[in-house]
Amino acid sequence: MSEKKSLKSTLLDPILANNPIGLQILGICSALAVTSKMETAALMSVSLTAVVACSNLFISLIRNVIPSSIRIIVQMVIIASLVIIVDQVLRAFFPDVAKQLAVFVGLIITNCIVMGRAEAVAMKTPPLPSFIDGLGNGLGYSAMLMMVATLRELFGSGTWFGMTVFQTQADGGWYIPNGLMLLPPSSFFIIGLLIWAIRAYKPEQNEAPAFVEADAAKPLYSPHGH
Amino acid sequence: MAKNKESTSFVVTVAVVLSLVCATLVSLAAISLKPIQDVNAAKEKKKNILMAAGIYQEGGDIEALFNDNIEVIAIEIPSGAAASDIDVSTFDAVKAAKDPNKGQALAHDPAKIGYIANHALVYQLVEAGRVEKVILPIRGYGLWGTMFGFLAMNKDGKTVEGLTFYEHKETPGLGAEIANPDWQATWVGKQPYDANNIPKMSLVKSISSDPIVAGHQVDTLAGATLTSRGVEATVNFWLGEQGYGPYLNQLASQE
Repeated sequence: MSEKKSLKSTLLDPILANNPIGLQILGICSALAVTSKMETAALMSVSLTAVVACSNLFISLIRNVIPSSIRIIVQMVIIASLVIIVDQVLRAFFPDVAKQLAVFVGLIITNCIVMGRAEAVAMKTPPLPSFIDGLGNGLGYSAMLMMVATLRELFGSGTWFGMTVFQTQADGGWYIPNGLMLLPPSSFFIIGLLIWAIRAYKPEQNEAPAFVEADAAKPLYSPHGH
Repeated sequence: MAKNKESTSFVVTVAVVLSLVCATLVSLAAISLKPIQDVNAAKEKKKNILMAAGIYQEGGDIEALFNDNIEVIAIEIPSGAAASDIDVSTFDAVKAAKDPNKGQALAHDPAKIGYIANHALVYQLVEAGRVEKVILPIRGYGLWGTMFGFLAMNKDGKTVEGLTFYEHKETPGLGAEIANPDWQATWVGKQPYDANNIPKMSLVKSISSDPIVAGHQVDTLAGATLTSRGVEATVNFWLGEQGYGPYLNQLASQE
């Protein structure tokens, strides 16, 4: 971790250069589950961004007091409290979408991005950069979710945020919706393709191969008669 | 500051203070948002009554639709007669059930609700001055908690017109499928009562080809045996003698 990172790069790096889903492959579970529609994906993104930013802030504020023997529990209590508050707010103001999100809001507690930022950044960084880091990672998660949800809703239902983009054949238009897009596996493919796109654009994100294939031995006998 | 951060007393102090602070914040949020959530819950209930009645329109004005079509009356459960002394705007069946003066403990209790009120609210769908369907509040224990819903019956007192659940704690993806409109729609047109006028609905793996038997059968929910049993017991209990049986009989005889 570089010592003097500007706040701007702390905020913007996680969106493309160090995307929590794209590079670190964290938080995949909810990215698969809530991205079949823009509405749920947007609300989930806002919720997660709020939780990760605030948990980073609060954990960073008390980082010098937390005894290391119970630090994980302390982080969990703070994150869980924030998630419950977010859940209550959603139920009060967005009851219909909250019903669709169901358990996934509660599962923010176990989202690796939140825990990861708390442990890696908030425990050893002052409050302001921690908060910005949380915000940036939340935005990185959101950017990925928005892209996946856009593709899924557009090709799966022909709509975007519920507005008709492609008139489907069922409504007298020309578009035949691709049912696979509405099922969770499609987000695996889409996330995979997005990661490929990001890494093609930024080759430095490519990981070193885990093993190198040995050169194939020369055949003793060649059918082509050499 | 932290001269002995790892000492037991300090660890305990941090844990206690943190718990208190977090508990306070969570309770504050829960209590201050409760009124708004209650309004939503009441709306959700009305929406489910309209859905059970089959007249809900997506994006429609729930309040107006409800007031225009639905008439709320109170009945006495054992006799099935209308009860004029009950205030329908404040009556709460779950609260009344636990009150020894307004409800009673159940000896035979297949739906596992423990107590039942002496009275119930019944929502009547009125079309051109005539009661067409009645929407009956039902509740029963599933796997994790009590499931609250509405069962709509035709004015003949025999035919199911709709079933919804608006509050439950069943497992998402398995038992929570009781809230799936596609599954709920399979209840429409079922004939729960057998030849002896006993409700015999059952949730089965494959529906019989015999139309009379099939009238008592609905597809069970895959992977949710206990929830399915709970739904079965709930529907049969509320349609039976201890539930709305007497009321439905009276309704049918008025035809």
